[in-house]
Amino acid sequence: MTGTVTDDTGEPLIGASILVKGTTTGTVTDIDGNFTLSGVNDGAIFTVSYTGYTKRSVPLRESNTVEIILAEGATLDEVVVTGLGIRKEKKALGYAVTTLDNEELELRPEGDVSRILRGKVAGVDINQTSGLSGSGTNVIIRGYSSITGSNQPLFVVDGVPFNASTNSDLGFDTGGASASSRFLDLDPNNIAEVSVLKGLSATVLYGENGRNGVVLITTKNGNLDELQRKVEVTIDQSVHSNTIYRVPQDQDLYGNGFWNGLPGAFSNWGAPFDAGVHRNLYDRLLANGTANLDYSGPVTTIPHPYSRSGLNAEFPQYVGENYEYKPYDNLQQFFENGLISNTSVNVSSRLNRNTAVNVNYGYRNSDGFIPLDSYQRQNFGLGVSTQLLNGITVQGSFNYSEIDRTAPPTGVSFSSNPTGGSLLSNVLYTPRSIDLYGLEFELPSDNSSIYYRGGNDIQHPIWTANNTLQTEDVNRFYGNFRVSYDLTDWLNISYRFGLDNYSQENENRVNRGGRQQPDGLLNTSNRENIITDQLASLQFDRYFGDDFNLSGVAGFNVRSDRLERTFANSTGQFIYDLFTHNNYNVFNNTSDEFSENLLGAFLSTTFGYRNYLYLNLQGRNDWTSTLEEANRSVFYPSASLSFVPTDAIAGLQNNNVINYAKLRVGYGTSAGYPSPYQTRNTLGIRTNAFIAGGGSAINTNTISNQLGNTGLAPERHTELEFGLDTRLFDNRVGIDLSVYDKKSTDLIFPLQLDPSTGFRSTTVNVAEVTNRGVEIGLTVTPIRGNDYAVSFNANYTNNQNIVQSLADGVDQFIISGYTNLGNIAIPGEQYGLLYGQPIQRAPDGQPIIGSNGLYQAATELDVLGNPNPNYRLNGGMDANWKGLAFGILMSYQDGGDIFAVTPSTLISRGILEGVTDFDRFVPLVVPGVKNVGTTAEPVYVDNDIQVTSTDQYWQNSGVFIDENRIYDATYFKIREISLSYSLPNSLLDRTPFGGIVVTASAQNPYVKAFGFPDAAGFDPEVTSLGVGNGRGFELMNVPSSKQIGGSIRLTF
Amino acid sequence: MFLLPSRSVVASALLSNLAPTTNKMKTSIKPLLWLISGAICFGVASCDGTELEELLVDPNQPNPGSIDLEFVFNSVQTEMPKFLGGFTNGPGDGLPGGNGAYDITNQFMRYINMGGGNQYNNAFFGQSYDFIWSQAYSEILPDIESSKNEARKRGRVGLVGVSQVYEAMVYLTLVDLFGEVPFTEALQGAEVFNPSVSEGAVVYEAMLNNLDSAILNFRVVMNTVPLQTIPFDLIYDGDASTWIKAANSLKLKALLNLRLVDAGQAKSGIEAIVASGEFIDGMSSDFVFPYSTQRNNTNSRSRHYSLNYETGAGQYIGNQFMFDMLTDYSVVDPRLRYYVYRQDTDATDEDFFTLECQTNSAPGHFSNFGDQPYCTANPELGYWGRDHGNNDGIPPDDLKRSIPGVFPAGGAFDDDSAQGVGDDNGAGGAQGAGILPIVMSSFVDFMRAEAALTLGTNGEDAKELLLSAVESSFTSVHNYSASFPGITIPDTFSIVGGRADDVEQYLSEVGDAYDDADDDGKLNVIGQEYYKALWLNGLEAYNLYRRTGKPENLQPTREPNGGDFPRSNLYPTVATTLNSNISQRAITDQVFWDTNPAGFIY
Repeated sequence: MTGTVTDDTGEPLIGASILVKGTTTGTVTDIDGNFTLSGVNDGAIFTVSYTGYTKRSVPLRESNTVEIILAEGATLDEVVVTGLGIRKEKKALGYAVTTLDNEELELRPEGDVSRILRGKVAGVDINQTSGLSGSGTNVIIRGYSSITGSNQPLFVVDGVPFNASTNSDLGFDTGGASASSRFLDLDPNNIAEVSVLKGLSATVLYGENGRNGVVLITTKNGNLDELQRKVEVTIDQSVHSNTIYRVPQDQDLYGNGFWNGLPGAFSNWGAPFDAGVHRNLYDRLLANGTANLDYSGPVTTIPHPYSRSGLNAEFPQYVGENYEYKPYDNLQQFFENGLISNTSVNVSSRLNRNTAVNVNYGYRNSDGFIPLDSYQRQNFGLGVSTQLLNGITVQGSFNYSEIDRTAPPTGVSFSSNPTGGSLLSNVLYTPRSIDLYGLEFELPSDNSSIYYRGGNDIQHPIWTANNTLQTEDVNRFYGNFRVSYDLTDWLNISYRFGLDNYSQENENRVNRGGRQQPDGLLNTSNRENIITDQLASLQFDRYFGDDFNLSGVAGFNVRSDRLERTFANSTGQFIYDLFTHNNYNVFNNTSDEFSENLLGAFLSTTFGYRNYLYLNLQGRNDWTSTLEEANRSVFYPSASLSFVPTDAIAGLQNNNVINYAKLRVGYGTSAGYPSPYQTRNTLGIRTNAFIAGGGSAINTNTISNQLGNTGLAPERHTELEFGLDTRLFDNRVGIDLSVYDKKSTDLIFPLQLDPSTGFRSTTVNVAEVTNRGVEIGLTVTPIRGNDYAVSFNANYTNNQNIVQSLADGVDQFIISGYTNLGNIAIPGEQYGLLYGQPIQRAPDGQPIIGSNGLYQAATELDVLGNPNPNYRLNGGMDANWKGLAFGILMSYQDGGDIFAVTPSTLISRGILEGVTDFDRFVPLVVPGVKNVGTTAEPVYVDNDIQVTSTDQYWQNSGVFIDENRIYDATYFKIREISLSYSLPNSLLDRTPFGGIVVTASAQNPYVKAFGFPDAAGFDPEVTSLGVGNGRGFELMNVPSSKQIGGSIRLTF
Repeated sequence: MFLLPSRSVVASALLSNLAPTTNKMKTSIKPLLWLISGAICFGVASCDGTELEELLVDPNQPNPGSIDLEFVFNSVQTEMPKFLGGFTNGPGDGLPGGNGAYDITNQFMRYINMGGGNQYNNAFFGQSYDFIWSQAYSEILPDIESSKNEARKRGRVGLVGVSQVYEAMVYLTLVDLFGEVPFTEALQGAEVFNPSVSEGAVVYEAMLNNLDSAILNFRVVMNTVPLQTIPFDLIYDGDASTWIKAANSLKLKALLNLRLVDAGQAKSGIEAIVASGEFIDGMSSDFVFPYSTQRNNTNSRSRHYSLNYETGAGQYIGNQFMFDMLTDYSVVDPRLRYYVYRQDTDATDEDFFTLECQTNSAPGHFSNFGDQPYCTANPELGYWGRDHGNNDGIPPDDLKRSIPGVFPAGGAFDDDSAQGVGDDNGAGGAQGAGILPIVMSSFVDFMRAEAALTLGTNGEDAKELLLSAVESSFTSVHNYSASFPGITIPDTFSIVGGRADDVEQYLSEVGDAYDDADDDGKLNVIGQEYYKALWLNGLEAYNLYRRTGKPENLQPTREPNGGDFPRSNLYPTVATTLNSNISQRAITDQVFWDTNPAGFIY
């Protein structure tokens, strides 16, 4: 058949794309707008699209020549990618899909596709684990369904499952929280399109892996159908500065010490710098008779911290020396200006009508704002698609990524020395009078760390920066190969083989001589992860008469996941600064492997009636290798209905109030399988369980603490979703509303057992969790003209995530964190409440003050707060005029609590400006009551015990009682702001360039956290528990960053 | 760089199969494609990725059927000291650690400062006991069951006996701590997810029978010709007759606890043991667990050493204990230099920051409790720990405060060198190769003395037993210490050498104090001396204190209202939250053998 494509003025459109729907069969128009397609039978429909013009789907009729006129303007009948990468008209969908095209992803300073999605998709909650380059990102779609399993969505790249694990050798507490997530291996500049499938009725074809939602990514190498031009070359270069969002502001009145006294302490509750001020206050104290400190006289110098007996041989120059007592600007010096640069080159070409090729290369280099933080990534990609003469289409995409990341140690800290080492923890509250950069950090004799404290119990941060390093190297290949063949014009058969294979090498090195790991260590690990995914499918799309359409897909899927890990841990470094395992006294190696196979058979059919009523029925049956035969197979169906009244009801057409409306309802189900090896008992083994005197090693067998459960079954998820999509007022207002109710039952739950059963845990199907929510997307375009437009957009998310039940007899369960400080699940309550140690309170709720005049910790742990926000609202504006475009994206989170160590520590340690620079010589009375009765029969009266300001701010702070570290996490932030300019064609005519776009942009330029002192510069959008099910904890992780810079794009 | 799995071969094979067919007519291709799609899921044997049944077996762990007697018994032997003495990881080790039975009771008994809170009810939580409970029920007892079963299968009755002794140790300790504990319903796995507790008396009775049964098993070993030894034994190197002594001594300890509820059973039982002569009576039969100098993979050192000799002191010694050692008699207790190492021999020059309390005066209520130290045990000599229940923050004193010495922690002998050995990264003193004092010969003498005084057992002379107990404690403290690697006791400080005068003086004053006292006072002298001999075995001191109320005049908590002394312990959180048949108990609940009045100790 042949045809022509023109615009509404009759001008031919050159290079318009013609695609037979549901297939990859297609062509492009020639210079006269003509095209020829062969082997297409009556009944098929094809889609005609051209950039800037409304896409049209035209059923093939009797006539062999068609004239197609495309209207200029926004794409009304939007085509989106759905399950298994099948493109469908959005109006045929009975569920919510959010699609972002490359313009919303490219040229951003963030190198992580999920972070770029932040704020852009309703219902998706994205939190970064730290401000380190390449640190991990927690992505949760429509709430947490599982209490202990993964709630991260499935990432699918060019149709193939993509491992998105966050791999770390360290616990969240020793620095593992900021490990990178493997979707970081994708280059956002190489992404053509991202679709987020949120509901179960959308994800059912992905099998049980799709139960947490699916992020479908189409790379430019996997998106060749729409390539039109002979050759197009795009070169992007961007450069952004990378700095801490804001350096906390420190007060300049008081220095290191305690109780307004002289140094020695860890804290900054020492004497004032200003001797005059001090004299006055001291005199006043004496007059009040409250001065009980042996302290006299103004202070300008103090003994040098290294003038101490044990160090005289090391530092003879300081013996008897003094040291100026004044504020030193340590933080300002510590935080550096990092730089992010991104280069990417994309070359695409349609070699001939049947063959298209895309090649790209990307390079990213990111330096962080603290020492040792860097990240490099190279991406190579190739995509080829060709239709052979016999009608077989062969398509393949091949991608290779190489990542080199370094990071400082970032163990958590609770206002004191960190767990397992951290560059940051002892820096942020370096006392003001300590010259961090002026004090030697190592002993000349053996390079071991030395610092100001008498007991040398703090590792010098510069020693940390010079003697520790964590690295992560990843090599990854992913790609797919697909053959397809049109059996008839409405029936296509295809087979696809997909592979995702990476190896990740981690290294954690510490020289001997530090304070956290005094002997030094070298820990290395290697992970090899392979996913193979095979899919055979039949796709059909057929009209019956003019009114009825039947389309769909049926197929088989075989997925195989395999992970092998080896670890080598060495301690006791022999020669300083040499990092090989054989330079250590003790080696310890372990290895393990996990294999999992999944078979699936699926069917999806859509019955369409007159392009306004669509019924979609889907079902999938899975068989897993992780369950015993009796429970291995699970079937889960889904159904959805979509109705477009504006197309169905004549009276609604051609009015300027309601231009388009779609009502939809969907019911979806899914299942979840456990991770491998939980159904059977094993025997525990340990070598070197004890080394007896004389060195003989004792090896042991032990009855495993894990009780296998042969009856373990899949967990079940069901979801009901209603939606409304509408465009109003001459398409100036668009509303996209979804309401859903998701219920997860028989959740696979690692039931902890009372050890008196002989076991500590087993795996059972018990718990139930629900998520009910509303998602609203809104776009408004008040101003629109030929070469200008202003539009606003907003999205609103409100999800109620309730733990309905846990196992019988289990009234609470710690989801994440520590056993005495973490997120907890309690039946009937919201998911993941913050749990820890509260203040002891009288029956009327007043704090009970102890005889020392201070709060006392309660004897029982309790819920301290709720990390779940009331709602999240994102909004933005896009404005363009001629070649200029301005965009801004803002986010607001209402409510939610956070346990925040950094800001509370800045206060507890007496550093923070505006909060701790008050008159510290005035004693305080802590509000509360004291018990003047007995323990058995308490009598409470108002507290009147005076305490020092040091005690109030130190002893009474969150350092000692968890409850005092809970803050309201409500925040507003400007997430992105950008201004770009496309050079007009008149300027480019005489150049080889087809286009030049220059953009200036900033990421995270402004944050207002309402619950925190402004001087802390705190950004609550963090999670220090790492990627997983924890949230609402900030444990002195690396703060978030701010990125400002620009980019240039050249196309020719 | 990246390995293509064997599955990729499948794909390339498909490719090469396709290649020659591409020129054929499309009709000939259809069957091939159908074949491909069929093959990947159903049937073709070479098709990878479709195995299901095979992948149910964990390739990382052996099958339960492959259990080995030696190795499972080793698990019992090496987990036991963790249950009693706690465990701390060595650098680089990543094992679960926590407080053992002695660690918490050491704090109740003022050996080690109770720093987790300022009152008894906030110093420890249910979580504090999780490690003890898990060690007992999920680490040791299931392995004891397996060990007994495997040993019976192989006719190794000696190992059955040793396992029974260990089982008695575990259950007696659990009852002493928690009163009623799961026993008849314990260890049933999926059969009983929520085991109910059994009466303490029931468990005690069963364990006394268990010890009798163990003794019979040992006699079988001894009567076998040719003479057998018990294999794999870390404690007595397989000597069955010494195991009989250990079993009897454990019985003695249990019977003495029973004396308040059943004086008759206690008396006759103890008399029978004393008459048999088969009880721990010297260094060769002391029930002590020997630690080694192994620092990691796996840390095999004394826990007190691990906590205090790596990166600075991690514990505070109770001031009152050191004060008693210094002041009870006219001579300083000769064991003090073994028990305690002073990193600093003068605490008078500290500023208000490192030793804040020095500028304050003792809380008023201290004067109601006899002669009490405050802030330090003796500032001029540098004996510097903390007052009971001092939960203040930690100043930079970790290289200055006094730390556990050579006995039993395997630390340093205090020869006045006053080095900050706390941060020697595990190189100081005996490098942790100390012992865990479970039952020593001196303990047996003290218990016999108490039994003689209170029950009149066998007409034994309580004073004679008391003095022999003290002397035996002196001797074993010295002898063990001197035997630890790298330890040389200078003659000038030796109990058996240059300072023998002190020993004689000490013993004679103890004798005089005993003679001068009434019956309750005599019991206090025994209790006070037993308390000093029990250093860092808090469990037996805790039992002694609840059984007798001795020693008197322990230091009260620094907080005037320290709350009720724990007559038993909270159930662990893992039990109260995971077991619907166990609800939390009050720490004022008394264990079954403690019939003393409420509030009689503090």
